[in-house]
This record gives sequence, C-alpha cells and structure tokens, in this order.
Amino acid sequence: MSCLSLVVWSAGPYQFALTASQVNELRPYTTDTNSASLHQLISGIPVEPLLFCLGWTTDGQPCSLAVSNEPQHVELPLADLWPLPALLQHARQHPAIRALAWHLGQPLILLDARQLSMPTANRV
Amino acid sequence: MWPPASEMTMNSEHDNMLDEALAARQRTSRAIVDVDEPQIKLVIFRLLDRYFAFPGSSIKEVISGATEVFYIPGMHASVEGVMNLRGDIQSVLTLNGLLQLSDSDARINGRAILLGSGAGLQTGIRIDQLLDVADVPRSLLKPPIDSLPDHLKPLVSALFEFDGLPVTLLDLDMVLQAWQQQIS
Repeated sequence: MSCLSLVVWSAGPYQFALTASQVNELRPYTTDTNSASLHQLISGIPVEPLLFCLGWTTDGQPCSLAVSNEPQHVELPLADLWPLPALLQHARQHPAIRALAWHLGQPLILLDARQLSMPTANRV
Repeated sequence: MWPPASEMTMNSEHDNMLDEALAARQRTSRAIVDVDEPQIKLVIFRLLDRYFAFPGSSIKEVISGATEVFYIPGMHASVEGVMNLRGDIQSVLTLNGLLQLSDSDARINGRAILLGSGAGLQTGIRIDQLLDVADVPRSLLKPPIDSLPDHLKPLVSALFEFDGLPVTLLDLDMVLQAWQQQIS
C-alpha cells in the first residue's frame, strides 16, 4: 500500500479528510438533514453554508456530517501522512482528530469517522 | 657605556612596569583558568518584556521565525499550529498563557521558534526574540527566590543575570508537564 484513499473537503481555509473506505454516501445537504456540522464539533472553523452531507455507518447506525464545500477524492501518498504529533494528541479538543497530512502545501486534518459518531459528535 | 643616571631611573621605572605587567598577566591567566569552572549552555530568549532561558540540552534547534506556521483548528489555544520542518510535521506551542503573560504581537520581526524536548514531547516553542546561546558559569545561577509567583515556582530552576538582564531559567520538562496539566 503506497497511497491512502481520502475524501477531502475544505472548511474555510482548512482541509479535512475522512478515509474513503469509511464513507459510503455523498449527497446534497437539505435543511431537514439531521447531520452534525464540523464547526459544531471542532472549534476554530468558520461557519459557512452547508451544502453536502457525507455518510457512513458506525456500529450499524447511519451517521452523517454536513460540510460546506464539495468533497474530492484524493489518493494521498503514505509518505505525506503523519500521526498526530504527541503534543497535539494532548491538545486536541476532539478525539476524531487522528492524523495530519501535507496536501497542496498545507496541512490536511484526518478525522476518524468512528470518533465523529461518538456522543460528543451526535447529531444535533 | 652606562646610560645617564636619568635614563637609569626611567629603566628602573620600566622594570617596575614590567613587573606590574607580568603580575597583571598572571592575574589574567588565573582569571582564564577560573572561567573553566563548570558551565551550562543556555538558550536565552525574550517573551514580551521578560527574559527566560532553557538549558541547551533541552533545545535541539533554533528555527527562523520566517518559517510558516499553519493553524490547526480544534486544538487548545496555546497551540499556534504546525510547521513543516524539512518534511517532518512539528507542533508549535506558545508559553505566554502558561507563564501568565499576555499574548505576544505576532507581527514583530525577529520572532523565532525553539525546537525543544521535555516530558516525552517534542515541540516548537514560539519566542519573541532569541538573545543568545551562551555558556554560563554555573556559579552565576542563583536558586529561585521565595517571592516568585506561585505559577512559576515549579517551572523555574534558577535565576541569573545576563548582560545586566534578569533571566529566569526554566526547566522544559516541568514546563511541558505543567502545560499538560493545564490543558487536561
């Protein structure tokens, strides 16, 4: 394995990703969608209009995350992937922040969909 | 021929001056030997209007302040972000909050980053100005005074003067342990 398939999207000036193997749905966001949005889960992200929903399943339960920019499929070379530096593991405010990558000259924050489904990330 | 008596007096004075010069030289030599007393390498820096130091053994590298630091959302406010250091991702931490200092002005030129290790963590530490990396005689290090603010007491291993400036020597292990306690 030399690459990791990711679903990447931007939120304000920041880039986020889920591993593509976790995501099983991408659909337009609708106001009746009962999805968490990233700025509700992670501080420091600007509030933007929500346009898409990413879906996955955790423990047989459907989960979804509303995002404001269209996600893209990216094959990330493993050499560009780093575990979260130890200090950031202490400093992170949500356990879903799992790793960092360098993509398009900027850090890319890799999220763990299973952790996004934890109680702190439950749907609003 | 003997020199005139007046010149002999001068020569005698010259002999005295030579003795004094030799004595002075010997004193200087002794002083040089004294400098061989145990020394410690310190990285001395400024945060706002306060002067601090870390032992050189805790600091691996001084990184230019021009290095781009990228903010990472979802982190404690003391994390400035991450930098790409020769292909490796390193965190960058500000200690102002832990040291109960107000925020530094990020626009000031000359700010640098110290890459340090302590308490099992490696991180960049943002400073406002690097003053020097100097070998300081251990005899100049004074024990922390009782009147230190409580939040500093566990972090400070010594106090000393450097170029007339009062400098607080911090223990990076203790600093990063205290930081972990602060954010937990």
